[in-house]
Amino acid sequence: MRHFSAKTGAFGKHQWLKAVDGVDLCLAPGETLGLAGESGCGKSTLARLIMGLIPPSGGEVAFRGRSLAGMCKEERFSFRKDVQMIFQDPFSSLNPRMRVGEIIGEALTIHGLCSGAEKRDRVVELMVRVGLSKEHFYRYPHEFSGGQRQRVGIARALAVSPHLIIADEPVSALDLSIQAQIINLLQDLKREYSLSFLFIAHDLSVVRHMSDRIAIMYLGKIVETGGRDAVFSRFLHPYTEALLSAIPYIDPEKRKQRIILQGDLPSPFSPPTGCPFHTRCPYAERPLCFEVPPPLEEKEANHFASCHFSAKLFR
Amino acid sequence: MPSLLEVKNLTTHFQLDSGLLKAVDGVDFTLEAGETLALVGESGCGKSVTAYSIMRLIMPPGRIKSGEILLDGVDLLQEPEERMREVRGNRISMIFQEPMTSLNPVLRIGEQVMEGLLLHRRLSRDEAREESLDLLNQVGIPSSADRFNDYPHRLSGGMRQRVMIAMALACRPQVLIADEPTTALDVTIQAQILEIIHRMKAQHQMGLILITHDLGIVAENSDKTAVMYAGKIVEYAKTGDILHNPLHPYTMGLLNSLPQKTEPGRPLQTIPGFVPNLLAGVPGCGFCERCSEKRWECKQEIPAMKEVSKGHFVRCWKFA
Repeated sequence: MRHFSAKTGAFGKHQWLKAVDGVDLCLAPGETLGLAGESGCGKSTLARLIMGLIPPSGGEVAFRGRSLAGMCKEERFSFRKDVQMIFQDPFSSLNPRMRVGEIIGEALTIHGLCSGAEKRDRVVELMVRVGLSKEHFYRYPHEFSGGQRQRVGIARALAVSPHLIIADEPVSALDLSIQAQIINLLQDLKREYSLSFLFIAHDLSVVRHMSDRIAIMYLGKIVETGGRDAVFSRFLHPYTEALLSAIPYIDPEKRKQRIILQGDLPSPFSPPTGCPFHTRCPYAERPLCFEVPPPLEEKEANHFASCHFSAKLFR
Repeated sequence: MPSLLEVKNLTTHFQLDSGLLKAVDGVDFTLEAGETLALVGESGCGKSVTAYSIMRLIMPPGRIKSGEILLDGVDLLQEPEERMREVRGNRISMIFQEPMTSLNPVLRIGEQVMEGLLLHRRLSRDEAREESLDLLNQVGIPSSADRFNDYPHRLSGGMRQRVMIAMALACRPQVLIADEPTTALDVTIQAQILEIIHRMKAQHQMGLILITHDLGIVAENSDKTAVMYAGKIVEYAKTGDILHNPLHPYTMGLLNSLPQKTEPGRPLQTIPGFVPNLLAGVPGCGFCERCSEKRWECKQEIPAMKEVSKGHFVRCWKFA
């Protein structure tokens, strides 16, 4: 749970922005959880909460059984090795004044894992593993293409042998032919290093390809979560249905009846009463949808949705 | 009967300190009224420079070196600048990728829609205001009378894009060029925007040039497709033919690399290597380095476009 206190308007009226509002999630070792949702749904804030970069307003984040809030300084520091992040923009996520070899090796130095020649060897090993060459060690980020910079970001994340990698839109800024290369790389690394991933993306075809389980977010809440195939083929929430129907497919047989959602995302400063999706939902009914927030419930085995009418609409 | 828009051998170069960049290198295509042509390719392939060349918005160090751009049979490249000013925003309009940086941040959106009407259609301020309100309604901006006086920063990305569409269509252009109109938008908003463009195009029988790298959008929204690589068109055909019977190794590679073409979890098929640096100026086919089917001729010379079956053109030594 993360509520931000923000002031709006010239006279500073105090309002709450519930960026993340009552999210329950778990991620098993070696699993990829795909988090999908549109701008402003809270997925980036959720990522930062999990990383411990911002403190929650309520609730807790527990990693391998240990609550982040309960960690002492040393444990916290150690935690930083366990969870790493790959960012969306390969242009702004690398320090332009540091050489690539330094960027990748920085965390190794900070955590005192190795130094000198051993560190250099480890960095080169990582660079080669992600598809760069050792000659690139002394280059600066601006000398590389977007895809190559993203590989630097991936090598940097892997350097400290994390258990969990949070990938926040890792391929959306890349060209199509490069996206495929990076997706394959992430899949290989996952298998090789037994990594867990929290994979955040708005391109649902990419999410589908990479994930074991999926969570769909809307206005700070999770509206559906379950196994990949379950959510994609047997969705239980109208927002999931609309998101999936919006994917443009090449194969005409795969195309679904497009549901065009009316209107824009409501402002997170004043989320709707009742179900947060009711203002755009083609199936919203009075009074239930307008007044009662639906809880996230298990509708079938391991498949949760927060909709009053899942059964009636989709089963 | 001549096509609405005919681009012949368009060549646009940029003379940089580091060398000569042939951004667009001999591009040919036609566009009929009511037709949608998708211009597809990755960064640096020349698709945006092609669009800017058609609008004659190329500034030094760029220069349109040669070619013809025939709008209703009249070559725009031969027209004086005063005539081009009457064409831009009026007979040919453009929608850009990043609505925030393309809208004037210090002008209210109503004013921005009115601009074209006042300038090109010479309406009075009252008439222009009426028409602008109507346009904003047509593009789906709710309570347009209230939003009329908003500044762009008060609108979401999807809303700003709709304002751009209203501006672009205000003067009922014959040709609309949409440069990655939905790349910066969420997928549900993308669907809304494409629906609006499609509806307004049908209403006004416009020709639409849709520039995108999203093949799914191409599949659902275009009649014809031109695939660009390193400044040239490498394949050009009806969209159905390109998607289901691709001939050029690059087109095939792109289609095969899409996640929707591979079962989840299995490795994606990839095109090895990198998108080319156009400054390199290599002789022969620009795709050669990455091509799985290259042969000896490919490094020597770039082949000409060849019509392999009716309406399906390819630039590849496999077919020359």
